[in-house]
Amino acid sequence: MRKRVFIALFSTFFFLLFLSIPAQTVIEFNETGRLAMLARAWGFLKYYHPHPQQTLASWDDTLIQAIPKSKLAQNPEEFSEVVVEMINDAGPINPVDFSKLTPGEASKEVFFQWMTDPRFFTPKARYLMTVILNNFNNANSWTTYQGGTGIITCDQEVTYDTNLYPDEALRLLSLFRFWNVIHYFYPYKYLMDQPWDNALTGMIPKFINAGNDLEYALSVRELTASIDDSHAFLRSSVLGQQYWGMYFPPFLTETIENKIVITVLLKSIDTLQVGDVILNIDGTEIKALRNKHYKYLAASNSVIKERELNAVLFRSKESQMQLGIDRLGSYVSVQTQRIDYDHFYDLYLKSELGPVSEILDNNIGYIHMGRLTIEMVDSTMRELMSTRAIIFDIRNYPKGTLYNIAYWLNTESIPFVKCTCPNSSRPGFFIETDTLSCGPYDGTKNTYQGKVILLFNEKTQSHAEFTCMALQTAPDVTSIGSQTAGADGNVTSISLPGGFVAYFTGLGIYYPDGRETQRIGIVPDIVVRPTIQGIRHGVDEVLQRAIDYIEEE
Amino acid sequence: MLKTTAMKNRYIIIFLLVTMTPVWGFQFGVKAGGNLSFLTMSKSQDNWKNDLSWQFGLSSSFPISRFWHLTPQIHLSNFRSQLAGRFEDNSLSWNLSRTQIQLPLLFKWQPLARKEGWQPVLMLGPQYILNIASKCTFSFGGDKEESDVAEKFESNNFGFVWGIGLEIPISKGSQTCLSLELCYNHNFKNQIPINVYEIGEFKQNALSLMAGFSFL
Repeated sequence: MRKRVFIALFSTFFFLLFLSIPAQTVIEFNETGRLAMLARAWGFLKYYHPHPQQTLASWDDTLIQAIPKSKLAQNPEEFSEVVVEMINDAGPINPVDFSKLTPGEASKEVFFQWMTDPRFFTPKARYLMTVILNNFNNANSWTTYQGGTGIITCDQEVTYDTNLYPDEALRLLSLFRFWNVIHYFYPYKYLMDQPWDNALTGMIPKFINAGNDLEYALSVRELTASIDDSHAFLRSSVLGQQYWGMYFPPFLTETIENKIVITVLLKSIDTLQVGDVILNIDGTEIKALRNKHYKYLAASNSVIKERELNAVLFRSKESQMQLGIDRLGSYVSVQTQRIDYDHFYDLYLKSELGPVSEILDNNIGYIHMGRLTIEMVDSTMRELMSTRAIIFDIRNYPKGTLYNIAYWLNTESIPFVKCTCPNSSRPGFFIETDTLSCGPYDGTKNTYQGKVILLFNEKTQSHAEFTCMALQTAPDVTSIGSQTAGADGNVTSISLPGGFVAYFTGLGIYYPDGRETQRIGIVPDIVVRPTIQGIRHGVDEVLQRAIDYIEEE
Repeated sequence: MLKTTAMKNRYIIIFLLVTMTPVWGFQFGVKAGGNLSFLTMSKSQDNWKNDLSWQFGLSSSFPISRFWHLTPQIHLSNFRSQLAGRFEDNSLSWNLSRTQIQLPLLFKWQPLARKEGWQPVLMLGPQYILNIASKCTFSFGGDKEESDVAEKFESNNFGFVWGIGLEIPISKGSQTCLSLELCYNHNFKNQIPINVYEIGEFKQNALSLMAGFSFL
């Protein structure tokens, strides 16, 4: 009996495990399937064919010509003919250009398995693509390295930014261009929730059916958000003006205890209080708004989804705002005014003002990393040298001070990070760099002897996370806070038709032992999250926990 | 009209060559034969097979001493190379065909300097080459596609020719003779200076065997 129960539980566990693995969509030979394969073939030829007869603009034109033919293709022969035409358009294969014309078999590499699919490609098309693959010799000239950073730039792309609602072919070009740049150059494709192939087949109908500039912009936003990267910003005038709106709330909110809570009043408003829990906005429940907006929010993890939600939730095209609020258990309805962006930004900057560093009670040093500049590091560290501990508050965006600070904290140079750079010479593959170190190389400096405390939360992103990694090399360091943005590594951008610029993490960042920070973020030693009660009482609970920890020690 | 003028010019040249022959004492001849080309692409990873092809031309021979003759020639030559292989279950082949006008200026040495009878000859001299056509035929699983690749090649080339031959008078005392020549054409210039996937230096040399007929 016990054995049967065990087998049943065991089987159920594996069944659930199987269900939880995102399945790769099988591509059918229908219009969407053909377009998906065309996108792959076009992208492959873009980065692997040497393009002796092409510019990027004419390569875009090649796709634009191929799209209607691909839609009409009735069988693999007709579809392959479209692909062969594209190859010939780029520069036909011939023995006076190619040094290896007898490959024998198609590529066995999983990355290129799509080109061996007989449901789409005839043997001849498969052969021609294999020749291009086998002959590849640093032919990709459409991406170049951004000086010294290891990330690529795509600045040769044609922007097509005069028309905010381009025609269907250009909309599909937009999708195919972004899909391919991610496919070949995004270092964290393997960390996405859904296989990237699924995004292509899923988004094709949306890009085709987008009926106006807003629907198109939302499709682009959904596509770029689907890479699960907090760096996946999208510059778009349409989204700001038509979807989110250009009026902003006169307050800041955060998701605390799964509720949207006002954390900062940017200006004094009698009817609102810090700690108010927002239940509905202009008559719409938060849950409904969350469901509506979530797919458009670029985030590496659920905490950042909420951060991004809070950034857009209260924006509107209307200046009037009606809020339903839970205030200490009572429902309150409040009508208030939104403010324009300039006013909002001005107030936001003022709210961020404060001391760069200070000595708190009981001789505890505090540094706000978002305010500390490189020039201030030495004097600040000298000032705090005799404190029993220094709290480095990285719940903000530091100003490139990590190496200078590490010089004061470490007795020697310690490796803290290694990177993977996209291989521009062989798109789709990545190069692992040597580790980077921080701290003094000569060890002659008088290093700080006290405790080092790092504070971070969901506002800690990118360079801030990188800073955390560097400062974690300090001898007596403790990390306190909550999950960070999980978007480490320099950012790459690419223009998309319709006036968009899409961004994504362009560099893989890992601890020297191989642990990754993308999506996971920096993991704290002590997890502390603010509470609604703490917010109401104006207590910075994360900072307080750090002080308590120092006192306890 | 233009065509007619061009043809007229050709006839005039032939006429002058034929009529001046007795004046200068040189020989004039025609020859034809086959060749086996040797294609090399220094970085190619494929095994190209050399094919037989044809060539024919006109020659002349000026006596410059008892043993030496200067023989300017003009040949129309075709060279072929083939690459065969398989991809999955399909046979494939690439055929490269190049047609050239060769202008060798050979020094012919007749070591026996016989007045009569057969005699061996040695030939050596530079040549200038004009590439006039280059075609590539791709066969895959029964399909055939021909493409013009002339623009990939240099328009000209230069090289060296050396060879051996035999001249056999048709009858005793006759100045008209049959000739048989085996020559090696060695060309110097890389024919594809810009290639996409670094095939390296493209050179095509050839061994030719030609039979000819020369007369005063």
